[in-house]
Amino acid sequence: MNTLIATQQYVHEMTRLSGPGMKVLLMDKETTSMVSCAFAQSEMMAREVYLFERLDTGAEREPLKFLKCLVFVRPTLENIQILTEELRAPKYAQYYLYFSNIISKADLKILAEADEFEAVREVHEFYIDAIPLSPYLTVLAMPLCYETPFNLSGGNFRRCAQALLALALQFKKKPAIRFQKSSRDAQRLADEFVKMTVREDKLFEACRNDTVIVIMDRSEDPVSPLLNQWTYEAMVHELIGMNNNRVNMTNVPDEGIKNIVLSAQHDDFYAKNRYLNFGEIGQNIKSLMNDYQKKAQTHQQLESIADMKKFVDQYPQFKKIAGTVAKHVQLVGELSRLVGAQNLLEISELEQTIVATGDHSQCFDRLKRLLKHEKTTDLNALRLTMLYALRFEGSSSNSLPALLEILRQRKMSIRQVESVNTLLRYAGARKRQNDLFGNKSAVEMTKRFIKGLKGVENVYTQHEPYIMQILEQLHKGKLSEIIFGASELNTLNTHYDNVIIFIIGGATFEESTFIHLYNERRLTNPGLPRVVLSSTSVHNTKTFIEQLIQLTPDSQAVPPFASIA
Amino acid sequence: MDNNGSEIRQGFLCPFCFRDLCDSNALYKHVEENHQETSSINNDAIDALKGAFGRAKQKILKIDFSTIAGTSQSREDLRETSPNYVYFEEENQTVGIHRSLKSIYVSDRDNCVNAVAVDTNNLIIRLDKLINDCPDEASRKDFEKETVPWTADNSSAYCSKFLPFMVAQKLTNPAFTATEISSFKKNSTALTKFSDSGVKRQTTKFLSSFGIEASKFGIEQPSNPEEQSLRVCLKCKKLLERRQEAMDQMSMPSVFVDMYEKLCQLITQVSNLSPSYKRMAASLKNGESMYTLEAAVQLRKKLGSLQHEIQSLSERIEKWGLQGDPLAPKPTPREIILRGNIRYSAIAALQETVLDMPEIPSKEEYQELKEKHKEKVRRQLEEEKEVNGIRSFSVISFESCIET
Repeated sequence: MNTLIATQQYVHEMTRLSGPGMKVLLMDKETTSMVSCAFAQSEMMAREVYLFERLDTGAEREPLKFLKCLVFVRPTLENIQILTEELRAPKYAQYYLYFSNIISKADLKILAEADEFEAVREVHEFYIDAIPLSPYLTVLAMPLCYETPFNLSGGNFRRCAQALLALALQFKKKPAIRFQKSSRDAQRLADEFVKMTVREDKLFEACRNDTVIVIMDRSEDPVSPLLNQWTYEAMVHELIGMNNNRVNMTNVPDEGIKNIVLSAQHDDFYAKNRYLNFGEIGQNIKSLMNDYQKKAQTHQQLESIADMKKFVDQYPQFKKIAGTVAKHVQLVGELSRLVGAQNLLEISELEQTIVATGDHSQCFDRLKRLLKHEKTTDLNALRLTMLYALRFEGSSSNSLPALLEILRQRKMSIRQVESVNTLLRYAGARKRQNDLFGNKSAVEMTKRFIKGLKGVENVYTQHEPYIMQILEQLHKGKLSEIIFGASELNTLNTHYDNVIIFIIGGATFEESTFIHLYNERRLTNPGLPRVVLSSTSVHNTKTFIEQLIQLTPDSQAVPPFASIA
Repeated sequence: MDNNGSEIRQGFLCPFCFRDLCDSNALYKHVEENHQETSSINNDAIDALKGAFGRAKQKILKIDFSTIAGTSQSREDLRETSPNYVYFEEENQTVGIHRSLKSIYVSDRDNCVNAVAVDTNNLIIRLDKLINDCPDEASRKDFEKETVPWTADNSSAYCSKFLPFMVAQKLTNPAFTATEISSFKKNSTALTKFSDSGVKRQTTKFLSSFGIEASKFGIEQPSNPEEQSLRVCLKCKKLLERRQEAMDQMSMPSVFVDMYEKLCQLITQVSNLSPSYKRMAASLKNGESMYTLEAAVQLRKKLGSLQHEIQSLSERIEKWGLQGDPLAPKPTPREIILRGNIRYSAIAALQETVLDMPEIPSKEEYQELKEKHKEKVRRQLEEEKEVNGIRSFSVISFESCIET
């Protein structure tokens, strides 16, 4: 179950169906992201696609009558309208219409009636409806998916349902569903999915029953998006920000590449270092640079023609390595700078202590000191306060109001400070069903105790996201029925070969890292299931807090947070 | 574990039943299996646990842990055990579900598009009749009335607009026979003139199938009374234009497309020949005589010439029309990008297949290599003989042992 490969196979099929000849690929905003994450432009050009256009920008496209046009879009009303206009006055010789999800018969008729020139040669549905960021991570572009109060808006709900359907079909699975009962959206999504499988039963005929989809809400684990990260991909997203594997470096004070693309399929160094810790990355970059320098030096000693020929032959490789080195040196340099400038080592240590050990007196003093520290940014101050609020919510020594006061003194906006309360309303202990901090059940407490005794190899990576607990319980057939309902009751304890986890409200790269490593464990332990993670977006702390702020009402008359004694 | 014999017990003790389990994993399993229910419901038990852990922790932290071996499940260890970071696919993932809606689409389309085709063909037939079979001026009106029934002014809802329709420029018609087409083509030399013997030199004010009297509308005469022209309404004009475009597209071969197809052919040729060349060179380097030196040289020359051809052709494609060539239309901005991409793609394909072409040895070198190879083979054969000899010798001696 590899979403990148599934996307690539679909696109290969699209080009194959249209036969030989020069082609132009016409896409909308979302499908452009999907295709660009799965392919480099040169790979598409190798399949005779030489031009890439957008259907929905309203820009005038020139007619090029010798081209075949591959249209790959979502079957939305707007796209259908634009397509009908295009078909009435076709700019290209032939059209091959490919839709990323199910298109209604009515819409199909509208298109057919507009096709007066009979330019359309093929109409096909290929079910890719989310952006494949990595082989096991696929997301929608919905960072602010909630409407107040913490429910998906109607349009977003439909979009999620469609994405789930496409995910099942692309892997040829007819999955069972476990959904978080306490989340109305999860329940509705499960119902909607079952309805869709019934409606489209012909499509699901060839599908296998060895998969389960687990639908849960972000509020069950609000800790993961609030932590600072130390693995490469997660760190870049957390400190600089990544969008569809593209890093925007325009705000970076350094000179250098302004738009960096991080694609594991085309960048060996990134593929090897994506999930490694910062320390390891530093070492690997050093050896990469040494290699590069060695090669560069040998190239300066061009004495014979044979040498020159060798140089010319190897020059493209050399250039490629040079490009990679420059890119990663720039990135890692910037990350380093930010770690120092924002005092992240100290802040991250405190974060992990708050989450892992929960010793209030230890944490509280350090927290107060850091909140007043000049290097601590507003974001980090908010982050720490929120973690504190979540961890010590029920504690008798909770002193959240004092911390909020310090935040206000930092000249943060009222809405920002209020968002801490929003977080507690969204994901506080009252709403959560799970044992997030390992202090509710004896089993979890024992685990933590043993961990504490053994000591930790790396104090910065103690946290393990909640989804790993779910995976473990699922694997043992012990996923709690009280917390997770099932679409079919007889599937409660079945063991599944494949698991798809869908998180409403955003996943994190920390979770993606864990899922990737879990999948890697299958090499040595084939009994484990394959896991794919899917969500409405990938959060970093900034976007997560933005969502909370957006859900924070603007009025001044918000009652102050009352501690739960 | 460490039991120093005093009243205070230490070690991996279960806080519920105080059994000594000697190991962290065993302790965990024990609690999970035996004390699951009681601990999750009973808050007192949890508090007791907290207290017990707190006390135990103080004591245990003083113990030296280097003796405790445990399987660490931390991330770092996981990474060390897995052999590589490449994304693996243990089973072949095949293309996901997809379906074609072509049949439904085509049947929907046929229903309405056929109507358009029928209208267009009717129009063509009428035009044909009116132009070709048109008798002289006097009876023209009657003829027109006969061919196409004229309706009263007011009842026509369609023809609110009409434009001069220069027949020569626009009309080709599959309904005509071949000879008629050729006569038409003769007539349609320049853009607007409609000349020659086939048709009478008159201005034909001809209104379209929904005919309305021109004079009643006060239409201005065409500026050049010499010109033959027909007047059609907007709707019919569109139909006829559309037909013309479709015909144009089918018949017009584009030089550009031809060049591109040639380029594709060349690239396929190169990618087919390149692996055999590499094989040849490798075998020759070994001194083997499976391939002749001349054949390899020939192949290399061919690859070289193909490479040059591809490079020059792709350059021509990129610059086509940019140098004021009268035959080539000037490319639009998107077309320029398109051509740039084609060239880039061609060069990339070349780099993959042809760039690291291995060297073939010269004649003298090849002789030397052949000799070396022969030597090697001879030596190998001798060694084998020896081994076989020993074996057969030992078989004989064994048998001889048995006999005695």
